[in-house]
Amino acid sequence: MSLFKASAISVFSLTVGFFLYPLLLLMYLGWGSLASAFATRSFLQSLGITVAISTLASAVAVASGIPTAYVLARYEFKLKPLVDAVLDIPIVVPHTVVGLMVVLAFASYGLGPALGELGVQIIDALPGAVIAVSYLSATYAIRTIESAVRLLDPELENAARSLGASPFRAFAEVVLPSIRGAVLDGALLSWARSVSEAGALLVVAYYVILGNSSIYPASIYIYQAYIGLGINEAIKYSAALVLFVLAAFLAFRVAASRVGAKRR
Amino acid sequence: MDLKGLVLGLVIGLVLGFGVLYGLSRTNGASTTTASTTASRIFSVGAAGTLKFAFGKLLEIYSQLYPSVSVGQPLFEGSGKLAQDEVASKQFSLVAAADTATIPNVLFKNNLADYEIAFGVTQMAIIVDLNTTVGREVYDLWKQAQQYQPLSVQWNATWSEIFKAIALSSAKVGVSDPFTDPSGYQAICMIKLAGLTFFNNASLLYDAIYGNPSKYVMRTTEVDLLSLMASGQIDFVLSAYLSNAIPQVQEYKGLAYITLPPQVNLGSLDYASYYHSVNATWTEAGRTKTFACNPVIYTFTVPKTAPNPEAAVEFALLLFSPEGQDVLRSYGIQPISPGVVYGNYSDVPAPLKPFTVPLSQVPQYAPAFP
Repeated sequence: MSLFKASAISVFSLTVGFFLYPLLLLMYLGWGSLASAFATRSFLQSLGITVAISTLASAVAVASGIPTAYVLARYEFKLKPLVDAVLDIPIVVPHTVVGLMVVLAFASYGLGPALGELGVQIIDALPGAVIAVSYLSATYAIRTIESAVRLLDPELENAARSLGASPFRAFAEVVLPSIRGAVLDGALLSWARSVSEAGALLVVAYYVILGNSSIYPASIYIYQAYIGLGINEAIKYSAALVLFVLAAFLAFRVAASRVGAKRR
Repeated sequence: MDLKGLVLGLVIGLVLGFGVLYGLSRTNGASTTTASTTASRIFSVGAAGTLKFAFGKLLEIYSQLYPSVSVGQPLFEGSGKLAQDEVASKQFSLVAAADTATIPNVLFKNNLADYEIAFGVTQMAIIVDLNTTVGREVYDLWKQAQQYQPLSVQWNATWSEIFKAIALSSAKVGVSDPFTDPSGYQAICMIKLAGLTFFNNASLLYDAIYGNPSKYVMRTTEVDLLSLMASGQIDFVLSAYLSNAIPQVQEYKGLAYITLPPQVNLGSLDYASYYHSVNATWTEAGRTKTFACNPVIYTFTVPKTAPNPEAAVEFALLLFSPEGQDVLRSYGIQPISPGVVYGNYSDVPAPLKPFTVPLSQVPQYAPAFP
């Protein structure tokens, strides 16, 4: 084996180990109490609300991300570097700051009073939670889809247009099917980013009021377990959340590949 | 970007980051070198968020008295989180909590400490947003109540009106999470005691607030609630201590605090038995916890793993000095002197023993401890 190959494999192994070691340790420590975690009604509720918030945020990310990514990939305009920087802001600024921005923009000032009059609740409500995590996760979908559109030869669209297709039809029948994989990846990334969110939710939606219940997102539920009940309870729910997310990821990948295979 | 650019960027980032840190450490004197072993070990304090102002002032005085000691950045946060952080990091030389239960429940259990010293008592207060009609109404009622003889008919009636306006109206109240901050369950105690005292029904106000998720906003500490109050989302903060309310209302325009009668403010050791007539039960993270309602007592310990226990003892001596006691009073904390030791008195550092007594010698305070 060459020195180069040996070095590459060593660094590769170290990197994989770096990611796996804490994860495996968490699963090892929490394995015995997984059943108890999944039998806890309030934890299942917290998983449910987390999935609901994340899925809605992912839908927002994809719906807004596809046209945004297309514009960024296909058109040149004067303020493009600025727009690029603005879209990266959620990745750069602390998430508690994003939470504060959402409270100010959608609850206290600006649109806040108007939304309030329309009966749209932001603080500790589903719309506020979705806005906060959408703000933080949409960038991941946009960037993933943008890369795919960039790789797509514009001549394909031009050919469709020359055959009489409208711009919308060319987009729907040529571009969209070609970037389907990237859209799914973007949705998954955005979903995963939303599941893991805590900082912004601590400010905007510490819990979500549904009917007469207050349901805590999983990240906050685990934080409460850590502070209020100690590290063992936090390990139990953390391991359960990791297992749940891994299962969701796997299920999504399998479903996506089956849909892809059927279409082919 | 080519490889050269990448390397250049990394170097600039590192130089900038460490340069700023080095510059700051030079200006605040933290890097002052000394031959003394004690001084070279960093002295960090972790304390309840509500001690931020009083301990901030005391640390300022301490740094002037002991310029050779490297004082680390203090950490002020909810007592529950603070204790868990100490278990995980063992970074503090002195840990101070806002109740008598946190240190025994977390640090005793993890064998990081076996005593705590009660050094002060504060009281619950309610922070009021004077920019709202209901806030202004409550504040005016409170001013009226101050004119009446305590326990008189008018006094009782006015306090009933105050609590009706807070709990039995559409006003929004802010409370801390009972699982993450003692002020969370202490707010429940205060509201139940108010119900018992002024309506002869401990559940009346409690059910009106905590039985309706739309009525309250809960956050990890009351400091988070103040930000929401300042942006107009909350009319009253119930999880406030006088020790924090005094400096905080100066920071935010249009906020004021109202003090509460000793029967409900958890600030009187004499009322400890009356406070015990209610308790706070809260369910979260799949568990239900019942908290005893006790006076809001501040306690501290020097953990067994303290990086600089000598400095912690010096700081505690400052706390018990006349100057330290004046600082506590100026922030709404009534000093407990001598300090009352719960746990293993023999492990209390010798220099602190003249300023402390074991709980067994002051049995009247026993109800306030676990």
